[in-house]
Amino acid sequence: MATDLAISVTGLTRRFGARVAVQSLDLSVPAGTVYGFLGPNGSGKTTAIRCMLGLLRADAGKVSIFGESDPVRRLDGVGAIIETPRFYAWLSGRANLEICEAYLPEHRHGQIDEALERVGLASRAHDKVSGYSLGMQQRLGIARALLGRPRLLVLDEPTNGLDPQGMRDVRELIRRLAQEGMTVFISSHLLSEIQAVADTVGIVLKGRRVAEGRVSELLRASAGDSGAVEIELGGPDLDAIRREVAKLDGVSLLPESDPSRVLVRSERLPASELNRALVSQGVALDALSVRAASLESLFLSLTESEEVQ
Amino acid sequence: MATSNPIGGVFWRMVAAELRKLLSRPSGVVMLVISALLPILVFALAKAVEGGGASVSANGQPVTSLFSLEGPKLLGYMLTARNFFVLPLFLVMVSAQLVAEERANFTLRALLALPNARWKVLLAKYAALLTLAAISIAGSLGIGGPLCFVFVEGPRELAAWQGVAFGWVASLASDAGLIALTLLISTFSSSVAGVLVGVILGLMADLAIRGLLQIAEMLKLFPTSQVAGLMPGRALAAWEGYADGWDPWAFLGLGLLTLGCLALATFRFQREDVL
Ligand SMILES: Nc1ncnc2c1ncn2[C@@H]1O[C@H](COP(=O)(O)OP(=O)(O)OP(=O)(O)O)[C@@H](O)[C@H]1O
Ligand SMILES: [Mg+2]
Repeated sequence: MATDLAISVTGLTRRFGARVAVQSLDLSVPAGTVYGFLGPNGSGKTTAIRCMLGLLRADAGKVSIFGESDPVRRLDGVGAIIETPRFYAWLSGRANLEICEAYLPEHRHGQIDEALERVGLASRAHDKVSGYSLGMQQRLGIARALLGRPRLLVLDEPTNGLDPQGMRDVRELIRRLAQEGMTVFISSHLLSEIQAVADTVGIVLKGRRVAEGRVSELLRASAGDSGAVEIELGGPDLDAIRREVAKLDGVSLLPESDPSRVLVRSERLPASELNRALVSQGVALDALSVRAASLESLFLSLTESEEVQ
Repeated sequence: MATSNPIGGVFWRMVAAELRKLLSRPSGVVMLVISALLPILVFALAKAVEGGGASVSANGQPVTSLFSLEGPKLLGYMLTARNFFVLPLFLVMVSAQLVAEERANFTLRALLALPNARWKVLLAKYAALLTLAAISIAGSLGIGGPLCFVFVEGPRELAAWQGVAFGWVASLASDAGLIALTLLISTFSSSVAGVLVGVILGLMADLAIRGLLQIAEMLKLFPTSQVAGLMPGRALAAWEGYADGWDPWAFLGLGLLTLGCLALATFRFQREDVL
């Protein structure tokens, strides 16, 4: 039971004055998975992570990591980046890692070179951190989190400030670490980022968990058992499309981030029938495609229903 | 796994890491350079006064004989110079850098997200700062002592040097108190300037209170001299006893100040939210 979980959070609550940043949050992160922790800005992701790592005091709730709940001991074997990693700017990247290593138990020493190698910083390791670019600092932060070969890696927005190449490097690094058996807990609001690496996700809104589970299952559940499909429509008059779609039975509008498209969810009508129905009403279409179920639409629909309440 | 000894190998590596931070940045280096230069400066000044005085005569005698400069006395001046203002200010500054500044620039959270109790982290920082203070004192004494012993007239028997030697040792105790006080104030402020102002305001308040105590004493309201000895300002100056007689109350006050500040700083550090 509990030991199969890398992280178990129950009833975690943290307030800042009157504002509740995290509210009765429950999370179960299975060991050996890549877990995506999703939520819009200000939804409490970083606050929850800080509480897990004992940086913030929780107002209520329990956290255990690999079954250990002692706030100090549970951190043994955990590597973390929280928000933007910071360093002693007057020291070299390597010296920064050496100082961090001194704080680890001895059996976790000896990983500095490998960590620098893994994030592609080995050749710049002797430069002062004050001369590092944002992306290099982010990489050094990942290297620091990898010191001591953690069993659990907690990454809060690790791709901040990285260029596309850097983002891909991080993605590949995460995959490789997961293959080696490391549990990776990665928070982000970049849904495509998460979908590319995570097998399990938890979604938070306003400090509360609104969904958790395997990505494939969540997507299937949101598509419905009926086999509903999401269809993306484009045309010269988007308002006309919306108007006509609204009249159709079993077809509903979904929120869409692309302003030149209308996204609908069709319970029964296949795309060809929808096309026929719209054209018969004199609505011109210049694009129609069935969209693969994505975390983004799941996320947006969860966000939408939240705001309606 | 972690050693059963609460202050084991990890602790001393933490101390070494903190000391490395201190010694690798300008503030720490400048502090040690000043520690080395001050006794040389005092020595040069003393020699200048002595040399200038020799050519002046009063009542047919050279002035130097009125201004009798002896080795132990000059070493005492060096001690006063070392403990007066500049180096304590540096000590407060570097202490604030290890806690207040690290909190402000978020380097603290990386240290606190590792499997060590916070009190141990704070104690490691304290030990590193105390080591820096000891190096500073050893540097000043190591340069000033031989200068006074070899190049200045005066007694050669050890007994004559005992008082001032103890003054140097006592200034490490004073530094220990000052660092503890600074760490405590660093749990209230996240800027080095804020901590400096806090320490200075605190010591000014202390001075004012001791003034009031003296007035109370003069008005014979109640005997206050012992209380005054316990006050932080007097306690931090316990080393001055080398010249005007040791005050056991000042040392008791220093012990209480050090332990009290450390305990309270640890208590607050243990509970604080780290962003
Ligand atoms: N130190 C703090 N003091 C006061 N309020 C805070 C503090 N930290 C966070 N909050 C509030 O708690 C809420 C959650 O913030 P948090 O940083 O955890 O969000 P997040 O999900 O990490 O957002 P983002 O995606 O922007 O990083 C926000 O409303 C924020 O204003
Ligand atoms: Mg955040």
